[in-house]
Amino acid sequence: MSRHSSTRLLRVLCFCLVLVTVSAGVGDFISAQRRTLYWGSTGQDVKDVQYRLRQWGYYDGLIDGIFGPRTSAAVRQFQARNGIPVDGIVGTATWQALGLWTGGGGAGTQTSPPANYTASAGVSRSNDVQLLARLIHAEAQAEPYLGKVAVGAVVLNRVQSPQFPNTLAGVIYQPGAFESVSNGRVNLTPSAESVKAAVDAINGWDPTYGALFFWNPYKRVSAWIWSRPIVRQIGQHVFGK
Amino acid sequence: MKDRSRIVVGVLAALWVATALWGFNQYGARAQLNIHLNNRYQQEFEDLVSSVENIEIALGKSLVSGSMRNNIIHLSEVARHAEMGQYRLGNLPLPQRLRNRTATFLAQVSDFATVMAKKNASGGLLSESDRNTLSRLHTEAGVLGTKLLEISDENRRGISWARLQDRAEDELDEASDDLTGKFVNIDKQMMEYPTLIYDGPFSDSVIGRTPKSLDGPEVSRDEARDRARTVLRSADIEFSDLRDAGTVDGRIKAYSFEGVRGGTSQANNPVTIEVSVRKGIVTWFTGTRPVETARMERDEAIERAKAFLERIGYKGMEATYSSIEFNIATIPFVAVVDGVRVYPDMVKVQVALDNGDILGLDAVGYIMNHIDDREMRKPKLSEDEARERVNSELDVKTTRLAVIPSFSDEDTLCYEFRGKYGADDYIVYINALTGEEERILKVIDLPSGEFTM
Repeated sequence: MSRHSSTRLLRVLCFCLVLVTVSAGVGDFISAQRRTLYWGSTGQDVKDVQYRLRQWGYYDGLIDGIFGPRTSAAVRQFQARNGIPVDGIVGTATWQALGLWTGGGGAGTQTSPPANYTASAGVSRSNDVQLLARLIHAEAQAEPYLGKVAVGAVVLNRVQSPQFPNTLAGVIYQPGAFESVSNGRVNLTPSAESVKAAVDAINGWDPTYGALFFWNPYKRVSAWIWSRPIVRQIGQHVFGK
Repeated sequence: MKDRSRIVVGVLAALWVATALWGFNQYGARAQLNIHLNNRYQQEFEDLVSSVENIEIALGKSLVSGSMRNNIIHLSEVARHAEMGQYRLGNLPLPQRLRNRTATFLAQVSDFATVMAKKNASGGLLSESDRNTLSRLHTEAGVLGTKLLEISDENRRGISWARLQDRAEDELDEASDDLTGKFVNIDKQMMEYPTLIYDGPFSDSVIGRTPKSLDGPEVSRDEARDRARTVLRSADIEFSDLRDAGTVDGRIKAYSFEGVRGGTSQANNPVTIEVSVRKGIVTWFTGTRPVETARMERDEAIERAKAFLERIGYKGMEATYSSIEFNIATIPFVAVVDGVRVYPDMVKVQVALDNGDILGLDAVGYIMNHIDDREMRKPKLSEDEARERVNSELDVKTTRLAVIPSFSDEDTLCYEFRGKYGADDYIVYINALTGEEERILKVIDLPSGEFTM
């Protein structure tokens, strides 16, 4: 219990640190144009990149504003995943892919909409992907890839089912529905594999053929859940209708 | 010596007092948080009761009303209150088994009322059976409302929602006289109602859907394994022997096989492939692996996917939109019958953009919807007649005939008009038989590909 609360305290402290870093960075979002960053660059904009890369699970070093080997490696990995030439340099394309590009098309001072909003993009799926990826990560971190996609598919099947709330957030945050939501693990940064599994599930792949429940048969669960018709087992999870 | 022990006692006493104060403080904070949470739940519950009462009232009005135009308003109101009710029920800390049926009821009421309002709006009168269903739902909403009110009365004496949440599912039974027992009773009551079948997404007919293309003999596991091998070879996947991985019993019953990818670049990544028990069709397979770089254009990936589909017997399929994520292209193909795109018959293929490998196939949509020798109906409207029904503000770029999925058993033949309104792309579907506007999709253009909403 005490270890639990001390790690929580640590987490709160870390969070405060991050918060300070972020709020310090807000001013820079307004600057007109982003400069190119490379090995050796320092400054607030480096922190912005580090923070974003960390949010998305590419970077696990300090947010210190110094473009060092770890930042460079994270940038390369990010570029490789996003189809940007892998050079470890944060130029226009990388800034844009990070969603941090603030310059407009030209040098003029036109009032343009926010950087990552365009008329027809309207809403982006990345929201849904991130939310689903967090749940997959928290519920099925140790599961094989197939088991991760299957957990994502169950959540999406619930959204389509009249028995459950009709939005993704409604299903995920339904009181008592997921253990990882009740204990807060759902807020951990998802691994790249969990994000990929979320994308596959949202693209429609359902290894469970319509399952609405999953549970770990090696843990104590209610008798009622065992009354559900079982579709299959993947890793440590049983999937049921 | 005496002084020293006095100091120790003093310090200990001070520590004790400090701890007690801290503990008391924590207790107070916790209690406050509990009250706050309980109040939120209480609000959701009371709002749920109002929603159900409002559903009952609006349903009653829709039965009495003689004006079609007013009826649309009443029915929309039913839908709105039912949707809110479903949302509120979802926010309550109830075990899933206690809300299954009630949630389904609310979703279906909302859905059914929407379908009826649409019917009225397009000039159709409600049939005798529609009115009977509305009347049935009216009674059921009334019963639900009364039961919830009973709980609400009990609630005034103060019910702890947190306690309800903590209760293990096993302890739920109707015998208990408290809140839990009352919810158990409601759920039992709702379970006795007959199924509701209509043309909406939450209809019982949609939930219990069975595959349309699997009427055929069962195949043995060995035959299924042979089929799996053939398909994997057609995808140029090198693999170890396929292990038996059990049978899957979902919407489709299927044999599951597992192997390991061979070859140099893809060693050790697992391959999973499943084959339907009836007719022995591959439902899906995946041999996914990390793809570090993209060396291939989207069009080339589409060509490779199409060639693969031809090899395994999906002839004349057409690629629709596609998306690229993690350097993997996901490309849905749809069947084309007599020049008409049949969107429900969809097969998805994944292609690695580094060397063009086929990484996966998902044919579940196709198997669920495909009908052999689909009889294509002749449109009653000409293309020009249909186009007149499209809002003239939409700058139409392309037109084609397409079959789009419908919630009822029959798919809908439509003219598909894609065009621009302002900066945005839209797709409008006009029913080729009735001229009704069936659906409007907004096209969302993301770096990874196009999506519709």
